[in-house]
This record gives sequence, C-alpha cells and structure tokens, in this order.
Amino acid sequence: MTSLDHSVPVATPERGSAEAASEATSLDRAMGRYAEGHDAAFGEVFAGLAPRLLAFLRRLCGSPELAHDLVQETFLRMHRARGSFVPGSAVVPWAYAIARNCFVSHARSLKSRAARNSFDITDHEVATGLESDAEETAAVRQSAELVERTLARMSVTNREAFVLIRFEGQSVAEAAQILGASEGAVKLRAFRAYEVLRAALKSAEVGGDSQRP
Amino acid sequence: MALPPICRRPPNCSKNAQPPVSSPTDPELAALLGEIPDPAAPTSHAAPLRLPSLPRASTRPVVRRRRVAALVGGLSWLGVHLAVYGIRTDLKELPFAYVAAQIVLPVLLATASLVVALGSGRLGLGLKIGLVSTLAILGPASFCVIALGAPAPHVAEPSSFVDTVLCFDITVAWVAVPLLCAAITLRGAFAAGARWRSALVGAGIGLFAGATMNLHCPNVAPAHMLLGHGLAVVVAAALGALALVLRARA
Repeated sequence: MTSLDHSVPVATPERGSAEAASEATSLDRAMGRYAEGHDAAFGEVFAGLAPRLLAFLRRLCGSPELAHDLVQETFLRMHRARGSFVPGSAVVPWAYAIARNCFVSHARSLKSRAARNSFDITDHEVATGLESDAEETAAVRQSAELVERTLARMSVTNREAFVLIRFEGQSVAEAAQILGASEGAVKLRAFRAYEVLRAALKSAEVGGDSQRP
Repeated sequence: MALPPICRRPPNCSKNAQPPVSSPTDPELAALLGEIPDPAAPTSHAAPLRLPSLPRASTRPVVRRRRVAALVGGLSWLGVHLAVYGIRTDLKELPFAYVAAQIVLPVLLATASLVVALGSGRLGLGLKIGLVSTLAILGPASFCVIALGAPAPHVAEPSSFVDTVLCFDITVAWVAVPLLCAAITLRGAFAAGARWRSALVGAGIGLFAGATMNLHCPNVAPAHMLLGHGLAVVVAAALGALALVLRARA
C-alpha cells in the first residue's frame, strides 16, 4: 500500500512554451517510470497533474468540493490503470480522459445531481488577471458567473468539448482523442457551446443596457 | 462588456475567401472561444489535496505478460475445441472464394479488430474513434452479410432449428472464455472511447469464434450460417460494448 499526501500548488504562473513542453516531457517520463513500477515517481506525477485536473474538473462540474473528490477518484483510477499507460505517450491527455470518465460517471449519479443543486455560485473565485476597479471587477465577475451558469445548463458533451479547448488549451485533435469522438463532432460541440454562451452574454449585456438610465 | 457581433463566419474571414461554414477551422475556433471569460480559473488558495492510500495495482510489465497470456489462452481455447470437434470434412472440396470469404476474411478482420482496438495511437489514447467504430460495425456486419449472401458451394443438407441453436450455443461458448480473459486483462485499458473499443474487442473475439465455427460446421445453408454462426459474432460485439466496457474503461 502506498500512502501519499500532497498539497496542490498555487495557481500556475505564466510560462514560456519551452518550459511548459519540458515540464510535460518530464511528467510523461515520470508517468512512464510509475507505470513500470517505480512508485516513487507517483509524487512527481501527482504534483504535476493535480492542479490541472482540479481546474479542469472544477470547470466541468462547477463545484470545488466535488472537483476535489473527482481529482482523488481520477488518481485512484490512474493508479489502477497505470499498467495500461503507453510508455512515451503524453500523460496529460490520458489523465484528462480519465478525469472526464470520473466526471461523467458522477454526473450520471443522483448523488452528483444533489451536490450540484446545493452548489453556491458565489463560492467561486473569478480570475480577472488584472488590478481593476470595483465596477469592472463586478462586471467581470457577473459575466463569469453567467458563463458558469450557462455551462452548467448545457449538455455535458458540449460543455466538455468547450472546456477542453477553451480553458485547458487542448487542440481539437487532442480534445477529440480525449473525448473519444471525431474531430468534426468535437469542433461542432465546442462551437455550439460557444454560441450558447455568446448568446447568454449578449442577452445579459442587452438587459444591462436597457436597465441603465 | 463589449462583445463582437455574433456571426457564423469567423471575424477574420472575408466574404469571398471562404464559403459560409457551420464550424470554423482550429485557429479560428480557438480565437472565437477565447472571447468567453473563464468562470473558474485556478485560484491561489486552493485547498490541500490529500490522496488516500492506494491499493496494489499491476505494473506495465505484469499487464503486458497477462495480455499475451490471455491472447495465447484465447486462441488455444478455440484451437483445442476445433481439434476436439474436428475440421469440416468438405473443406478440400470448397471453392477458394468461399473459403476466403467465410474463413480467411473473418480471421483477417478479427486480427485487424484486435490490433485497432488495442492500438495506442498518437497520444496513447488509442487509434481514431472513427476507424474503431467503423470496424466494430463492419466486422460483424460483413460476417452476417457474407453468411447470408455468399452462394452456397453445394446443396445444403436439410437441417433443423435445433442444429442452428446448437451451433449458436457452441459459438457463444467459444466466445465466452476469450471475452472473460479480455475482461480480466483489459481492466482500465481504455481511457477514451471505451465503449467502441470494447465493442471492437468483442467483435474481434466473435469473428475468431465465427471463423472457427465456419471451419468446423459443414452446414452451408444461409439461414443456418446467419443465425447459428453470425448471430454469435453480433452477440460478442454487443457483450463487448455492454459488459466488457465496465471493466475496460479507465
């Protein structure tokens, strides 16, 4: 039995693509070692993947608490499936695919629905990335909350395609592999989600404008 | 918040450059999607994440050995049964085209099915789902179509419904053990597209069993070939999609 206790590092800073690629390669190698039976490499895999998976699952499910549970479930599944990891391949898409499976199975359960209903949208942090005045911050927060609500209302298939491409930085081809769908289907799903979100933002903007004196 | 106008045509596309599209190209899509704000970016005060104790899990060398053993075991299971039941007596008299369509082609499709289902692909998530799903449907479908449509090499001997049920039972039994081996050794094997890949594994196993049955059973009646041999191939693919997937999905 292996017992591990790691903290999720703080928000990922902006980095160059070379550094990110180097980190990804080192993560892939660590996962390769772990798959071959070197348990010590799991710490490296966990530290490298946990923040990304947490952010991914948080965007998918909307609840930080549920996202934490799903990250743990994802790592358990990754651990069980480590023998199936193909050496030399990228661990990030593999981990995203497993995380997505965890989310889908939870989304299908009644327990997940109950958790979703009790989720309080105001618990969320809105990342503005800039020092801004209170009005601007409130506007960004409002639009982000609207995105959150609209994402929660749309179908899981559209939502996951959109989240992978827009927020997780995956290409359409990678997202298609992760979701087990064709590239055309994934592109269409993401675009549909975009249109729904865009319409929601636009109607909110129109509503806000009409309320102004 | 100022938003650009909603349009189906990406903003950087001129009217004459491209015909109207229902979905934009990759960079255009990324640019469009970038307009939507991120509702839950990683925050600076994320709670510590504790991972519980991990159970024992097979490593890659162990999994590889088990899969090879399962493959050898599954093929041996069919081979031993064929040896016990015997190869059909009219094999030498059958036209080459008939043998190729009823026995060689299913074996080739079965091999291709297993190779495609277990292929790692560019990202290690398996080969493209379009190829996987096409083969998962085409394999069993071609077996059934050939069983029904291939011209019989000689006049079929009269056979009862019981004979057909018996052939179906035996073929399903031949499928069962390799499918069980697959369920044991493919645990968590498919991270993405698990249902189609599991269906393809089932179809591959079914095709091997169906080809073995075609090699054993001398009955050439199309209805018997379809219901006695072909239906078992379809059942194997369905078992893969419905049952094997529960174990094989990572």
